[in-house]
Amino acid sequence: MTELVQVVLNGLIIGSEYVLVAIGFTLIFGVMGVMNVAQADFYALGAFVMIWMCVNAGLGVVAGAILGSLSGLLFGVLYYFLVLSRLGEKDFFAAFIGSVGVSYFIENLLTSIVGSQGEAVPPLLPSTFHSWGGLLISDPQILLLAATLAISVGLLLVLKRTPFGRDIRAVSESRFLAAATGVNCRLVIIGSVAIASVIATIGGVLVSATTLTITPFSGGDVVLEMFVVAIVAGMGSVGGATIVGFGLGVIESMTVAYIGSSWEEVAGLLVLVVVLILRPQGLFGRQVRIG
Amino acid sequence: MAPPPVLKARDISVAYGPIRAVQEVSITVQAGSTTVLVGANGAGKSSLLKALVGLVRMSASELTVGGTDVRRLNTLARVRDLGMVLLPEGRAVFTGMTVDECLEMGRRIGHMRERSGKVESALELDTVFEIFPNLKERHRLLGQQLSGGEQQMLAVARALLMAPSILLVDEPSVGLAPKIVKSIFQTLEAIIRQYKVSILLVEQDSKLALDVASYAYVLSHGRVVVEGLPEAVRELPELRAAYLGEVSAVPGGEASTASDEGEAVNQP
Amino acid sequence: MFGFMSLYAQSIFVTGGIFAIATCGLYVTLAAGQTSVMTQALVGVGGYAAGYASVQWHQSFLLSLLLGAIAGAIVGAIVAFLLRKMSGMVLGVATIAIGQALSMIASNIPAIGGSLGYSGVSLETTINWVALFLVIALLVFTFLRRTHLGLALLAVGKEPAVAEALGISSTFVRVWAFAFGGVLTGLAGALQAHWLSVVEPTDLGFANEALIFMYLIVGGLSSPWGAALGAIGINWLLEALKFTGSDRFWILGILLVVVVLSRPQGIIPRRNLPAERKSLLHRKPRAPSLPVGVSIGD
Repeated sequence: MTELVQVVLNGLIIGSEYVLVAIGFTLIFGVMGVMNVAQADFYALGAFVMIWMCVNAGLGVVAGAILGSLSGLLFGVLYYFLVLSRLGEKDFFAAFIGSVGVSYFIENLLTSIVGSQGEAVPPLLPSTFHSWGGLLISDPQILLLAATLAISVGLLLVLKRTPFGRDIRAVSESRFLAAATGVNCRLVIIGSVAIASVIATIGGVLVSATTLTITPFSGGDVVLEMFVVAIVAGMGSVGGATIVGFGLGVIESMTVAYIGSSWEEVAGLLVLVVVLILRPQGLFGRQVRIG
Repeated sequence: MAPPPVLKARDISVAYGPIRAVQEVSITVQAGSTTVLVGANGAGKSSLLKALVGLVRMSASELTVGGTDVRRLNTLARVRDLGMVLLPEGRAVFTGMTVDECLEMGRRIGHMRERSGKVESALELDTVFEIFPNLKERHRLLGQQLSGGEQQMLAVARALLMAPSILLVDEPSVGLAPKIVKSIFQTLEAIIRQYKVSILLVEQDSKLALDVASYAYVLSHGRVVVEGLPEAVRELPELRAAYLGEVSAVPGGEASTASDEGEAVNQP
Repeated sequence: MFGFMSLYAQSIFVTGGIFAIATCGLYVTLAAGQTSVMTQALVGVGGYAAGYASVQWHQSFLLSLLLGAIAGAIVGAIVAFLLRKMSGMVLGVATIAIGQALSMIASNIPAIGGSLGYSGVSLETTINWVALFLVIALLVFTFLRRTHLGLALLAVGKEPAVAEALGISSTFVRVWAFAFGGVLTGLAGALQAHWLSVVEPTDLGFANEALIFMYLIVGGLSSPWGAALGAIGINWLLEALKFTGSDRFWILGILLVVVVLSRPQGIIPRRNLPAERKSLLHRKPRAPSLPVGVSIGD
């Protein structure tokens, strides 16, 4: 029995990674209608910034982690002004391909700088595993899980209870109507992109704290799960993405434990295709925003 | 000396690619009046309203609100600074928000305008709930849980809270039962009387519109074919013709009826 | 026939040419309005099929090419049928997922080499073959446009509702769009297998999908000739940029973004009936501006 719980627990930890990348992705889609493939690469960028801060700038681990987490603000805003703002309006497929290009750019730029082998991440917390009633978990993993829960609950609260969150919901539903109602749509979108990017970089820092390594393609590794989670949950649904993200992690964990590790990723993909065929708007989505 | 018109537009043109939805339309809305635009579907009425608020690209030789040239202003400025409030056709409310939230969005704008001195005072929520007791009862419901008529009322209530200088109302009767439409128009009339709001109303139902109008324009294929006082316009053959498509159907072609573009009947 | 080129130049042309054929395949699929983002996977499918046929069944070069093309067509058709209710980006994402899934499945099947892939494929592809097939592909496309099927493809791509109203079954057309694309793409994969002698599961993955779209976009979207030029051109460019070392890839990424940004009318090819021609920088007409001071009536 404890073995099952351990598998589930591991699944939740794996899922945290997916949740953090997916909620940002789905948020951007909600307000802009753009599928931002590069979201996953911001995730890797967070970890790299942390490494550079610690190794090259000689900052302490905690400071490096904080800066790495916050770097998303800078990247997100830059990305918005340079690319997203010019693409989103015109053609959503163009925006999608544009973001694929940015993703390609980031991954290869990082490869140029650090090589494709990857770098070691200075440990944020000691990786000693605790045993609670037979369950193994390490400090970084606890931090990751707790932070993920806090962030997703926090984001949901912001969306439901604050004026800015209400504006985000308005823009997501209908940019036209929001503009007619006096909402500053541009600000809402920039803010959403910034929030999404920060969540991604925080994710990168925290997850790499558990794995202690990061490669330029770590983002690309998560892209697929990001799509799966966001689409299965229903594009634009933050709460749904949280649930599905954890769920996918658990499914993968169970697949590895009971079927065999090489089929791990196929499970998620099959789930995606099946859900899309049966219910294109996702499990929690109300309507497909862009066909 | 009469106050300056709340809205004055000259030669507005709106094109979607090769389709010219609005062609050189000129309208004037006097302060405190209810000006209506009638015409059949596809006559360009909605496009015109959207262009006035800046949600759709247009060209114009003049567009002023309360004397201020708005052509270079974006929608945000037109709404917040100049009080141009659009009630769009169809979904005029957010389905995923509660009545309270919807109204709060309106109230925020109204307060902004009050604080920045654009208006003397903005309405409070209590006052609005007095006018619309239905909404007060349902204040926690989501937009999608309201009936069509209630949604329209909610839209009007929200618009009022925004302290508009001019209300641009797009086809309020669409999709609603006649009885409900009547009550909406009665509410609109009461509001006009009490708050002296200027309204530019676009309506397909010409009878309904002309009943409340103080001045009317008839649009067909993106052009104004006739304008004037409602009593006069009502009788004109051009009105019927505009609806039945007897006006030349070629975009950019001249109106083939007797009256020329822009001919006025009994100017105020 | 290509003796005037150095072997080095020839090899660039071969790689570019192979992807030119694949990109033509993508072009057909996109022109029918189907957002396929699994071209790379179909190339891999063709490669595996050809490789397997060649090594295990000892088929001749041409036959293994044929099998590669058929494999691509079949997989494409199946995918099209499975996803027939989807369109737009959702369809695109589903194809990405399937492409990745294929890659993973390939690495899990020991019979075709598992994660190490398949090796020992005979080295048969030469620049002559590539050039020949490229020309054939382009000619086929040109003739396709005049057939009923071709027009149906374009109709569904441009105005799906109208096409449906005219009685053109969109499922039928979609399946053909993917199948046609699959034929060319699979063929390209087969050619590649006989060029590199190795087929690997990662060949099927998403990583190089961006490159393929880059060929399409940079080459100009109004015809598959452009796509072909784009593929060859960019491969040449990559070689030319080799002096920048490993930087040439991200430079290419910037290029893709810049090109996408400067094409306001979007990426999906709008291949029109011969009467309309659109240039690369065609912009939508703006609303007419009128002379100031003219007032009508009042």
